Order: sequence, then structure tokens, then C-alpha cells
Amino acid sequence: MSAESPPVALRRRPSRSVAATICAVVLLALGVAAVVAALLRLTSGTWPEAVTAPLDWLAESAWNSPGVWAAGIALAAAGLVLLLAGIVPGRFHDLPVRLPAGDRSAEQATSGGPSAVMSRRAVAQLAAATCEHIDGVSSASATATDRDVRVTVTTALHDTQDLQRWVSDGVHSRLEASGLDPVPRVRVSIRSRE
Amino acid sequence: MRHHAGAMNRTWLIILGIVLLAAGAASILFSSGLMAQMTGGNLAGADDPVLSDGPGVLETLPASAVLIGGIILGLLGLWWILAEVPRRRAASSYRLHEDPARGITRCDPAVLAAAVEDDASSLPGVVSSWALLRGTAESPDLALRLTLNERADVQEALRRVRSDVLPNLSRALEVPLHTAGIALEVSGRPAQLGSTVESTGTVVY
Repeated sequence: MSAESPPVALRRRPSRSVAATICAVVLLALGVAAVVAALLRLTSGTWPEAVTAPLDWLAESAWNSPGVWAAGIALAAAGLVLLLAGIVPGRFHDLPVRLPAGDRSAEQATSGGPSAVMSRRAVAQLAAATCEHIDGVSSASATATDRDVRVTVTTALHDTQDLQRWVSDGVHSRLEASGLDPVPRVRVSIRSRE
Repeated sequence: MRHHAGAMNRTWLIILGIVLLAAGAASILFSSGLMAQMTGGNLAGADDPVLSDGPGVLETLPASAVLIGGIILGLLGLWWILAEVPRRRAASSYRLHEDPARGITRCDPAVLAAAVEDDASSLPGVVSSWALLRGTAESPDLALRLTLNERADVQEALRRVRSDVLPNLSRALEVPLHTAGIALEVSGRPAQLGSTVESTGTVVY
């Protein structure tokens, strides 16, 4: 571990817990099914119907039958999905924030220098809250990814061209002043309320 | 702020993905008859049954092997499910003494974390804070989650954390922090200090 790396990553990518949980539950179910089938075989001397029926079907089906084709394609597709879930890094949950320079005691307080992040939800709320203070905005909502912020503004104004610029500049400068580094791209869509 | 089993999940998903993809690709090759062509007819052709021995394969399969395999598979699945629970990885008690023969001094990191939370919550614009200490007394790691009011000056709050909160903790432990991670959240709730008070009413001159 390097001098600066924390024991738990501050800024993390998706941990693919949904796919992992599904696979884990399937593995557990297969394990339980195998144990139950084996115990039935050991006690009654015959394999249960749930085990013999699929094997009968495989013994009767040719490789080029539609069922086997479908099973093969489904297996390959599931494998591809799991492989991509493992390989594709995914978007970060949080955006990096620049820390202001500290004085001498602040510099000595941490050996590696502190680091800060802001969650995507927080960035979106900051952007929406900024819009609430711009004249002409009736209501505002925002969503954020790790690269851009989408702001939707409702207004009573008919000419929305200036408002779009004000909102875009206002949100951008607020995010910049908050220390987001790099500053996410701001996209504004205006809904004119009739 | 919490440890997630991301690296482990990805490793196992890649392994399972490769196994399933290989099985699916092999099945498609058999179904299309390409496998028989490539091996010169040594393997099953497209018109052959999938299980050439029929269901009789079960008679030769020992139930004890299935039982053990099932137990291993089930335990693996259970272990993976349990690994999905996010872990705090909090520090155990900090040992502040140097020579145990001359006395023992232990400090519960939760006490220090509560002091850090108290310190951070008193900053202007901070709605609430949550702190967690990891590592050791010689090399402490701080994870701090700050919830700021949506109108707060984020950089000013961070500057105060850096110039007041972190040095206070560092002085208390008498060592510089190994790492300090600050996660920022934003809330519409009013800050404990330094927030404007919203009011409605009529001004009478």
C-alpha cells in the first residue's frame, strides 16, 4: 500500500453487486438442489424427477434441435453479460473536489494530504439549488453523472434564450467555486410554462 | 466510506462469464455442426443426441460426489452473498502506550470520531457530519462525511476542515494522519451554524 492510499477507496466505481448477488444466489440454489438430490438418492435409491427429466430431454434432443440452440445461445449471452459486467469499469459514484491550500499546521496534519469528493446526488442538488436563486426560474431539478450535470428548469418566461445562458453560467460558476475539479459539463433544458 | 467487494465481484464475474461463454460457444459449435467438421467427425455431429449415453449416466454418478459438490457450491454461494454486505473496516482500539510494562493506554476510536464529528458540525454551513477512524494509532486514517447546506460555501467549509478539524485530530493523536478522505453531501436542511433564517411576515414602518 502506498503512503497516500486509504484503506477504503474514497472514490469508487460500481461494485457490480447486483450481478454478483444474482450469481451468488444461483450458486447457492444449485448447491442446495444438488445436496437435496444426492440425499434423496442416498435414502430412496432413485434420483428425483427434477434431475432425471432434464437428462432425458438432453438424451432425446439432437444438437441442432431448437431447444439446444436456444440453450447454447442463452448460455453464451449470459456469459457475455457477466464478462462485460466484470470488465467494463463503469462510472465513478463521486466527483473529485479540489481542496484549498492550507497553512503550515494544516500541511503537517496529514502525511499524504487530504482528499475530497462530492457525490453525484450532492452535485445535482447543488446545481438545482443554485437555479432556485436565479431570477425567472419557477422550479429546477438536476441529475448528475461524473462528467456532466443536466439541469431542467421551469419558467414562466416566454423568451428563454437569456435564461438558458444565465442558468448555464450560474451553475457552472457555482460548481467551479465549490472546487469540483474538473468542473462537469452543464446542460440546461428549459420548459416554458404556459 | 464503506468497503465494497468490488474487486472480488469483478474477478468472479469474469471467471463465471468466461466459463459460461465457453460452454455456450461450444454448444453453438456443436449445434451448427462446425465442431464435427473441425475435428474430422471425432466429436458429435449436429444430428447426434446431446447425451449419447442417455440418462444412464446417472447410474454411474456417485451420490456422495454430488453431495460434496453441492455443499461446496452452496458454501461458495453463501460466502459470496455475505461478502456483498458493505464493511466499515473501523479501527479496533488505538494502543497509545509504548511499553506495556509501564502501563497501558487504550483509546476507543469512536470517541475520537465523535469529537471530530462535533468539531466538524460546528463549522458554518455544515448540517451534519459522520466520522470513522481506521488504521492504527501510529498511522490513523480518517473518513469524514460532511453534509453541507445547499447554500453553504463548500471551499470555505473544506478550508476550515483542513485548517481546524484535521490538525485538532492530529494534535490529539500526536501523529500526522496517514490519509484523510472527505466525502461531501448536500442537503436542503439548515446548517447548525452560519445559516440564514428564512422568515415570512409583514414589515410595518
